[in-house]
Amino acid sequence: MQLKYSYFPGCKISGHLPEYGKSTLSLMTSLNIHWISLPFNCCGYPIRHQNMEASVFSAARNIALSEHAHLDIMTPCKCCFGNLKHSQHLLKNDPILFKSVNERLKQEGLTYSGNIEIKHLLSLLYHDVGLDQIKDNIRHPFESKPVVAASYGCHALRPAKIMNFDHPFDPTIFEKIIETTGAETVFWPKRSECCGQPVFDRNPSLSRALLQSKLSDAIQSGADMICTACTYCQIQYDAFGEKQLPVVVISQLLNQALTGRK
Amino acid sequence: MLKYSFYVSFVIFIAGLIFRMVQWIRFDLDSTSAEQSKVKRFLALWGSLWNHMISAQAVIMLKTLFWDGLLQAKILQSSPLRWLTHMFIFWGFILLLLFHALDDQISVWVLPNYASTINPYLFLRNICGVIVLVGVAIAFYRRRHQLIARHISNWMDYSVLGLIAGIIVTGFLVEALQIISERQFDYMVSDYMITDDDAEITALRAYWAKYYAVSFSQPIDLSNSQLLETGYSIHLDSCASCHSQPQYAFVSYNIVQLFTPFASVLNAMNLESILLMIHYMLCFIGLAWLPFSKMFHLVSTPLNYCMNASSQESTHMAATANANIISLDACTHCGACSENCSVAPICQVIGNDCILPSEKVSAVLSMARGKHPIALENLFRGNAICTECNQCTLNCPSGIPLLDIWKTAKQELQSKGLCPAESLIHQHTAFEWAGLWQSQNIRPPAFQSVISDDPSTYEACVQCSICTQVCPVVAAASSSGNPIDLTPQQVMNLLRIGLKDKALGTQMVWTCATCYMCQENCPQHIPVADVFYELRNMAHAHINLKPTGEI
Repeated sequence: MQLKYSYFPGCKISGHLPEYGKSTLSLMTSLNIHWISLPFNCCGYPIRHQNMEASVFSAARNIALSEHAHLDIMTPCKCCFGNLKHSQHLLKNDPILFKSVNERLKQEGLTYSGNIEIKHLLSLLYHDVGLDQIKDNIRHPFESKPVVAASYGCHALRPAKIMNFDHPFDPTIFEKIIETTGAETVFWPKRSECCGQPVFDRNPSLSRALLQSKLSDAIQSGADMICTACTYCQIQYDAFGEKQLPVVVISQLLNQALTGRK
Repeated sequence: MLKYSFYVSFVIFIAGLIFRMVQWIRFDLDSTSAEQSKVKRFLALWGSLWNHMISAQAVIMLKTLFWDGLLQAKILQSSPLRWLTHMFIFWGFILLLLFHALDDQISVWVLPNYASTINPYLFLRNICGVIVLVGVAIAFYRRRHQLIARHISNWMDYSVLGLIAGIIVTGFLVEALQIISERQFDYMVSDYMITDDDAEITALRAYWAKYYAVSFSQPIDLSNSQLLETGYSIHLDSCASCHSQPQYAFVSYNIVQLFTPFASVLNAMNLESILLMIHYMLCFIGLAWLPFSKMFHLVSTPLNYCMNASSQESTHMAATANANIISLDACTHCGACSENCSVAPICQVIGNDCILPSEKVSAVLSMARGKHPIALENLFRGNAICTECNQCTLNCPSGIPLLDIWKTAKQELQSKGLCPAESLIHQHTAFEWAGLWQSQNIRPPAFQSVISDDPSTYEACVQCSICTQVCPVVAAASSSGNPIDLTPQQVMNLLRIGLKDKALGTQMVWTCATCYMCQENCPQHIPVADVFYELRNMAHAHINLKPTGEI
C-alpha cells in the first residue's frame, strides 16, 4: 500500500533548521513515501506554558486540517509530535474542551474528531516503512562503523501512555533505525533525558548545563557522533554543543547511507 | 469653487507627503536609531536616494518598479486572487485618472481624435469603471468572509474601498444623467450649432431623442420619418464627429433605462450637476486624504520594494533607521501576514490582537512614536508568542522584513523594561507573589481537567522524593552551584497542604523542562509535570491581569 501523510514541519524548521526539513523530504522521496503540505499553524507547544486552551486549539486546528484531507500527520519534530498527541489525549477525555474547540473550528468550516494518527518521523520509519525496507534501500552503508549516540528527545517518550512511541526510559527504535545504515550505536545513560531547549528562554544557563551533561555522557560512553530526530534538540546542540561532537539529524544520516551523498 | 477645492486638496496632499516623510526621519524603531541625529537622517534620506539614482542601481530600481510596482508580482506570489483584485482596482483607477480625469492634460495630446464622448473612449471608460468596481467588490467580499481578514478589517479599510466605489458610481450616474439631460443638449446646441433655425433644432431634437436617449420636456413626434431624416443630416454635420451612440457607455446607458420614467423630474432638479459636484469632491477628498490614509502605500510600498532590491549594502546607521520606518509605512493592512501567521489561532483564544502581524505593525509604529505603556504591554505579550516561522515575511506583498522588525521590537521592548512572565516571576519570591495571586480572581479555564485544585491529585503522594531524584533540572541546577529553591516533591507537599498560592511562584515550577521524568517515574502516579503546566498557566493568567512589575 502506498504510504501518504500530511507533512507537518513545525514553525522552527523553515527559519532555523531548513536542512532538517529538506533532508526529511528527500528521505521520504527515496523511500517512496508520498506527502502533502497543508496550511498548518503552530502545533501549540510553545504556548502550552501560558494557555493550555490556546495550545489545544492550535493543535486541534492542525489535526482537523489533516482529517479533512484524510491523512495521518507526520512530523520530524518531537515537540510538535508531543503536543499534538497530548492535545488529542485531552480532547478525547474532556468533552467540554472538545465542544469549545469544535465551536471555534466551525467558524472556518473545520471539525475535529480525533480519528487520525500523529506520527513522528521515527515511528513512521520503524512501524510503517519497516527496518527491512530501509535496509533494502541502503546502497552506501557506513564502512567506517561510526559509533552513534541516539538522542531521543524527551517529548516523544513521555508520558508513555499518551505518546505510545516507545519505552519511556529504555527506548530502542531510534538505535535500530540507525543500525540499518551500518553504523554502530551506543548505550548512554542520558539518551532519553531532556536536551535543555525547553528552558532556553527561561533560564539559559540551566539550559546549557542540561545539554552539557548529555554531551559529556555521550562522549564518556564512547560516541563518535550524536544523532537527533527533533528540530528543537538539534537547534540546542547547534547552539551550545560547540562542536564537542558532530551532531546530525537522522534524515541526513539515512540520506547519506541511501545515496552516498552528504 | 471647484478650482479652489482642488487647490485646497492639492495643498493638503503635498503637506501630507512632507508630513509622512518627516516621520521617516523623526521616529525611532530602536535605540540605535534614536542615537542618530535627525540632521544626519535627513541627509541620509536624500543621500541614499541620490546614490541610487546615479549608479547602476537605477536599472535595478526601474526593473523592480516595473515588476513589483506595475505588475505587482509580489502580490501574485502571495495570492493570485488578491493579485487580480488589486490589479483591477489599481489599473482601472490609474487608467481613469490618466485618461479621464486628466484628459485635457494627457488624452488630447496622446490619443488620436480624442473626445470623451466618442468610441472607443466612451466604451473604455465604462470598462475601466466596471473593473474597478469588480475589484472593490471582491476586496469587500474577502474582508467580510475570510475569518482573519474579517477580524482585522477596520474603518480605514472599508472607507478607502467605499471612497473608490463612490467615485466610480457617481461617475456612472453623472454620465447617465448627462445622456438624458435636456440642459446638456441645449448647451451643446448653443455652443456648436451655427444655425439658430428652430425647425432644424426641432429635427435634431427628434433625432437625439430617438437615437441618443435625451429626454425632452416637450413631447416630440418620433414617428415622423422626414423630421428624423432632416435631424440625421444636421447630426452628421454638427454632432457625429464628437458623439458615438450612448449604448457604448454600456453601464451608464443601462442606468438611463432605469431613469427614463423620471427623466423630467431629474432634469428639473438639476441632479446631474449635484452629482458631478459630489464626483469631483470625492476625488478631491481622496487626494487630500491619500498621505494620511493607507492609500499612502502608493508612495511607500514602491519605495520599500526599491530599498529591498538595492544591492548597495547600507552601512549607514541613519539610512537604516529611516528604512525601518519606511518599511513599516509600506503596510497596506491587507492581512496576508495574519492569514498565514502560525500563531493566529492562539489569537482566537487569547484575544490579544497584537499576536497578529498585521496589527503588530501599527503597534510597533506607535512604539516608534513613543506611545503608551499599556499598548506596549499588549504588543510585548503578543510579540512574545511569535514562533519566528517567518511566514509573515514570506507572504508580505509589500516586501516588509516583518520578522526582523519583530526581533528588533522584542529587544526594544525589553530595553524599555518589559519582561516575560518567566523572568518576571524570578524578581520576587514565591511568598511575595502569593499576595498578588490572592487579590485576584482569574477566570477558570474552559475545560474540566483542572487537576491542581483537586486534593485527590496529591492524596497518594508519600513524599518518597523519587521525582526529585530523577529530575534533570534539579541535578543540573545543583551541579552548577545554583540549587533550585524547592524540589518537585516539596512543591507537591505545598500543594498537598493547600498552599497553591505559594507554589505558583516557585523556581521549580518555572524551570521545569517538561521532560515528564518525575511523572513517569512516580510510583504513586502523581501527574507532577501536568500540575506544573497548570500552575504556569494560572500564574500567567494572574500576571496578564495586571501591568507587569507591580505586585
